[in-house]
Amino acid sequence: MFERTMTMPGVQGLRLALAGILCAVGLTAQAADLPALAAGKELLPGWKEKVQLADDAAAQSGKALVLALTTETGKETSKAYWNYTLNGQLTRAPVVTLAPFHRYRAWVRLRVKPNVGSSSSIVLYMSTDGTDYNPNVTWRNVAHYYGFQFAQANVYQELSADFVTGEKGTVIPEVRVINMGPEPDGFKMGTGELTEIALDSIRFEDLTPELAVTQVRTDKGNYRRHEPKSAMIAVRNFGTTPRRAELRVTLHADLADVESLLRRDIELQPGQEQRFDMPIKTTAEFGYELRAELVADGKPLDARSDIFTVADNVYKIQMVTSKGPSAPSAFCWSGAVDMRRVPELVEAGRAGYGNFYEFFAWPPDDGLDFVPKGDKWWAGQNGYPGSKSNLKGIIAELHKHGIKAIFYAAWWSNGTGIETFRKHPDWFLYDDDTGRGGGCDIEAYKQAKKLIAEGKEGEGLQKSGGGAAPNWADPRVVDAGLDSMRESIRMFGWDGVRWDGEYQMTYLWDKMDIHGRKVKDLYKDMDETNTRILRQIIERFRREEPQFVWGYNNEMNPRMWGTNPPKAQAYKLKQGGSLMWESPRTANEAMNPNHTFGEYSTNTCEMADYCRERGGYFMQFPAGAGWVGTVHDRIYKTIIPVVAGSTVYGNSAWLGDSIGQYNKFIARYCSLWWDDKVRSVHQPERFLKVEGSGPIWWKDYVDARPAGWGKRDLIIHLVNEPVNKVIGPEVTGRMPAIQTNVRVALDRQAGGRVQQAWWLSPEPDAVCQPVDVVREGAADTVVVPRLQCWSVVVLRVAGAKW
Amino acid sequence: MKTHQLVAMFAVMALAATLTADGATVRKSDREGLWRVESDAIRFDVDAARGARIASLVFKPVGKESVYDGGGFCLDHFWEQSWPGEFLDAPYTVAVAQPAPGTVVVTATRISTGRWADAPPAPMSNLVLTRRMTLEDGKPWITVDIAIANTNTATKMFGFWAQQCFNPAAVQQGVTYFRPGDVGIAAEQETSAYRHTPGPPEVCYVKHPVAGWTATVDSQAQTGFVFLMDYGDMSWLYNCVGMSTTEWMYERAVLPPGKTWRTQYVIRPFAGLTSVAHAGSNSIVALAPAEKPDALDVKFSLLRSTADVTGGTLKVEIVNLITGAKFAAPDFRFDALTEQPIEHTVTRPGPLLQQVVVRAELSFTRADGSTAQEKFEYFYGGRLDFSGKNLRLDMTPIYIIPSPPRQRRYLKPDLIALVPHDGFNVVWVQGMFYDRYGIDGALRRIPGASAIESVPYGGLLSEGLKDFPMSYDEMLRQDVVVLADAAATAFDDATAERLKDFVEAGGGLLVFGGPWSLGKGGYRGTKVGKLLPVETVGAGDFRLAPAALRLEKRDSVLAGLPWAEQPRCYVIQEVKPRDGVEIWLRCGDYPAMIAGKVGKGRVAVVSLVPMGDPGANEMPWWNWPHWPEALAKCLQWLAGKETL
Repeated sequence: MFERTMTMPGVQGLRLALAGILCAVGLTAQAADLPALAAGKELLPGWKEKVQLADDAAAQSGKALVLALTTETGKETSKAYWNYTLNGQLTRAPVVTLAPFHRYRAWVRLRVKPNVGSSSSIVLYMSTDGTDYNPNVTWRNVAHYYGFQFAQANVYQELSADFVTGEKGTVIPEVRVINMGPEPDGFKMGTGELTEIALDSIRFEDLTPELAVTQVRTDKGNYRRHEPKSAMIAVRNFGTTPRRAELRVTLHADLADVESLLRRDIELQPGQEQRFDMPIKTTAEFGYELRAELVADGKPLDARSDIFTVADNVYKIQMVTSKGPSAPSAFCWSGAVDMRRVPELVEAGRAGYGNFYEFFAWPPDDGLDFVPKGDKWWAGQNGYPGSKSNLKGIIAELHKHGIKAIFYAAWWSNGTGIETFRKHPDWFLYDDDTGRGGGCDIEAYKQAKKLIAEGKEGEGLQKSGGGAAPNWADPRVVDAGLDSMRESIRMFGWDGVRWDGEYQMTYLWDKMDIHGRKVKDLYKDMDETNTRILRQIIERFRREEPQFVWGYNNEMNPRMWGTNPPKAQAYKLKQGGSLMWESPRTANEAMNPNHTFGEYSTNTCEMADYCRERGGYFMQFPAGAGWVGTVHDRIYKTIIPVVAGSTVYGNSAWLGDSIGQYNKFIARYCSLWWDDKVRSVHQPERFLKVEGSGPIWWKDYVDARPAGWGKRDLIIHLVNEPVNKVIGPEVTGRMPAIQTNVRVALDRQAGGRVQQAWWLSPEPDAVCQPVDVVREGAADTVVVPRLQCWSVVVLRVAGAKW
Repeated sequence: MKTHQLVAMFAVMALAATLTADGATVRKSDREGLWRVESDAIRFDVDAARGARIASLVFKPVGKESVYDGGGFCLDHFWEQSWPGEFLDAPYTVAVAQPAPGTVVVTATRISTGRWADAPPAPMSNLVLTRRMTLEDGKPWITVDIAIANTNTATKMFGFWAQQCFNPAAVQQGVTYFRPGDVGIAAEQETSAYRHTPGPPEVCYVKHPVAGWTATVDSQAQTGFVFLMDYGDMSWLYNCVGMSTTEWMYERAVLPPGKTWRTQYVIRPFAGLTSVAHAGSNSIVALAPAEKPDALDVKFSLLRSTADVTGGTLKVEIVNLITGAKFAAPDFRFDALTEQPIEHTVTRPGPLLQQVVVRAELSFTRADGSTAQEKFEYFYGGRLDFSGKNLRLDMTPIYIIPSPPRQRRYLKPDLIALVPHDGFNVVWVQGMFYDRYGIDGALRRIPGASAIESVPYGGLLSEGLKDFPMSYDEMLRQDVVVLADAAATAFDDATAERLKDFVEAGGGLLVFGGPWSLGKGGYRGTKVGKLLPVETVGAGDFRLAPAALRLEKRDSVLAGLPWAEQPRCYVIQEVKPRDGVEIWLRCGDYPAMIAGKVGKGRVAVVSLVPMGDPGANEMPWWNWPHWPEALAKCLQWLAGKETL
């Protein structure tokens, strides 16, 4: 466990009564004064009538709040993804006043029928400052029981959620249920008994030790290597007597690198808080844990930690977590952003270990105009609203946390590109057949002009959906785009660009220039032309914006190219570019080549190897219907890219927090998957053997890296075979059975001698611990104690023969 | 079961034969207006009281009732009225005839009211709609002839829409709709995703059909219906996926007094195929690609359509759409097409690494000794990126299947002459830079001038003109039509014909250059292009011509303007003036304004393009203060009102 919770004196048990009917057991005097929880008063619109206060013999008080799935309530859900499942708010309590800044565990007693072993999804929200409902700002979904499996049907069971109170100590608890159905998997409306969920009590357990580390916080979540780094540690005495202890602050990197930053004896008076600010001097890349511990008499009292990442090129370690600002639409259309929300959203993104935010479809023209002239504009793609002042503010907020702001660009020209086309018709290309250039929806164009003339709209005519085809083979045109990008970098502080296909001629090869000359006749070699364009771009960036990074989106098909990829692909990878692979986006469709988890895994490994071996980075688009899917799919769609070597371009594994801390784990140990030195080991079964109680995927997921002194690390990812065979929204959310004592054996003759070994896993919390190496016959063997979905074994091997 | 179905059932039980003969029969039931028609292959009931729909249909080889509760074949609509419209459940007058042994003709007639919802009634009122349904022994299909007659004194306008509501084998789940679109066969299936709710527009519509057929197939039962219709008049194909309908809409018809709009479609049930990739009067073809590790197999299944084909040849070419590599299969010769499919598999060596198009060409010999050909293309992407869809990374199609030219029929008034009117009426077709030509300013200078603003609709891909005068009445009341960067392809045949008639009758036409005009507008060889005083020189006709405009013809209406101020041009479209025309302006050596006459009308081309980046102290022609005046003079000349 990273954040160890110590047993502490003074636990305050607290039970709430629900409308005086959910009578609490062991009700304290404090609780008796609390306002009663109401059934329905505060429910989300439409759910007020659906939650009933009902007699329930199994409830502690004889009554419970009950939400039953009927075909009526079921229809409220999104049928496209969840066939008539239960989805709603069970209760929302009024304000409860607890102690400020304390750590609490909320215990929520629920009964569910008939979901024995189901993957019902229960969310516990806590408004930790007691303010009114606002899902994006003041509320924290403190626990997601996605994939939760009730031990018995119709028997009350307690779920817990940990949280820290704010300055006021006020809390509003809320319980929601999502996508719960009657079938055993809980995901489909079938012939089974309809679901019912009942709540009979909520109680709070104070977990705060008397002497506690209340904050460990680096100033940013992500840094460049030589960027100044600092941290703040806070400790507090919650007790009634003076307390003494030693504060130990350490910095942990890779597997077992530890640096001591501070050891100091402290003494705190009751209620006193002490803060420590300290620089962090590290320039090595990848993931770190900053850890603060309080020790007294050789015994640990409390500990807390924070995670951060370091890299000069964010594409090397990029994580878009679909949480907070990384949620696709949160910031892209800056004109629609409520700036009051921004700090909390960015904070949420950082809490999800995000270090990269891509502003999609934002510029006045995706190809040639990244500099809005006025404060308001419409994006060239889809006409999304933009605001210069908002965008600057958002990026500044992201930068406070080290989250890199990446802008989207494309090879086409749209929006204000119509005006660029009008002004510079010789910069553009024309249809080879008809000779036409440019185009737009004239009615929309007219309407936009009219509104602009009346002062009702922002700059640009982007809503007309118009566009034109720039001739990127003309260096003047590339320079015009780069000029605009450069000015935009100055204006907004962008850290990098991610092209939807870079400036290239691939899709323009059949066109003609303004003189009617065919592109293919003029430039002859498309690959050479594309490479020349890339060279112009990269050399200019290197010269003028040395810290700027770039990525692309390309159709990639290594099987087609074999060992002879296009020069442009090789060039962009060699220059440290990141390639996004978008094909898995439709993996939920049967015809997609990544539709089964097996195909998806094989292809992802192949793509990642292809990029890594050529010096670039690989970034995979979230597989299958974007960000939806059962918790099972969400987790595997996060794990598989990473074990293959891909960075994370949007995942929602954080929804599986009740199963594992995936993003935290990926960020902390990213040196094991994203270091340039990590390379795949092919056919590892030559010298490795993995044995578990069930099927385990591992042969495609074995990597190696140098470990110094002639040793090599063998990094073996163990993936518990997915329950679902295909990627799709309408499949089970059931998780695979946990495997214990999985044996990993290295044949000494064929593979080398294991000198050290570690076991790492994100489940249930990120863990990295040394494991014993046992010599058994001709093999060195380690035993993995637990495999839920993903574990990693690292063997440090001398005399490696692979 | 609903009441009307019960009524129908009992009525049919009590059928009393009124017309009998060898083979096909028609019988009238006790219930007024209900007729049963039966041949050796098909049995159907016509319900006069409910839109004269085919309220029941059984294709005997399959033996299933195809019409579901509330459904039917041959549902008539005007699309301006939206569904259900005035005809769906309206009573028709039905007459039956047996013109020859083994042939039955059912004729249903109704006079339209034009009234439904918000649609303006006048254009669609008092039209005589006649639907004739013919069934013959030995011909397992129903031929449906539609005639809509305008017996009024005013022009009428309507868009006919044919709807068929059925499931081929009485089961909705799994029914697949095959429609020939320009990005391939649009195959959509009835699944639980859309059950009882209309699918989204992108699923339901095919807005760029490339052939006149649509098919509804129950793959499991291996049966379906092909509908063959006149591609020349058809506009969109549609299936309300989720609600089991097969529909298509026709181009809006503009019907002068005394004229009749006609079309024909065929309802052709079949058995033995699980899909349809092509249908014509000679053949119905299914095509099934199958990927192997080292080859691509394409299996063809050929079925008889409505012609008696005694033999033929199938030529197949498979083209790699990325590399351009072509594979030509050996010709396949086949005997007579029958109700049993003839199967043939073409094998292209090599795995499927890129998307391909399968091009098939069928040659037929028919029983009457005549020959015929049918061609079609089939896009196949297998399991390549984007699930094999015809999409590039930028979401544009990898390949557009060419649309064959449409053969339209023109319904003109008997007398075409300009209508005297007050004022100065202009139709201003507005392309992308419509407001850069100075047209607004010119119209302000012409007393009584007003303009109908017409835009090419749909943006980049669609063709058509919104608000362009649809009737000859309206067209002939105009003085000048101005095309400000409009492609010739924006004119459908009927509209182009109307424009030609207008000019020949004495109207004026002014065409400006632009990125979608002249050579780039596809004018060459078109009806509109033939009206121009110039020949266009092809698609690559832009010329960078940074030069001043120069008055060439000193006695033209443009004389007297201060051309010495040298308004500048930057881009011009090269054109070749035809013999006998006048060049009024030049830009450098390029003709910039050319005028000529067609019939009684006048036509001018301004080949200037309002694009470019003026230097400091330069006056681009579109900003020249005298340009609107020059244009006003030109418009007046075109209208024959230059002395005003």
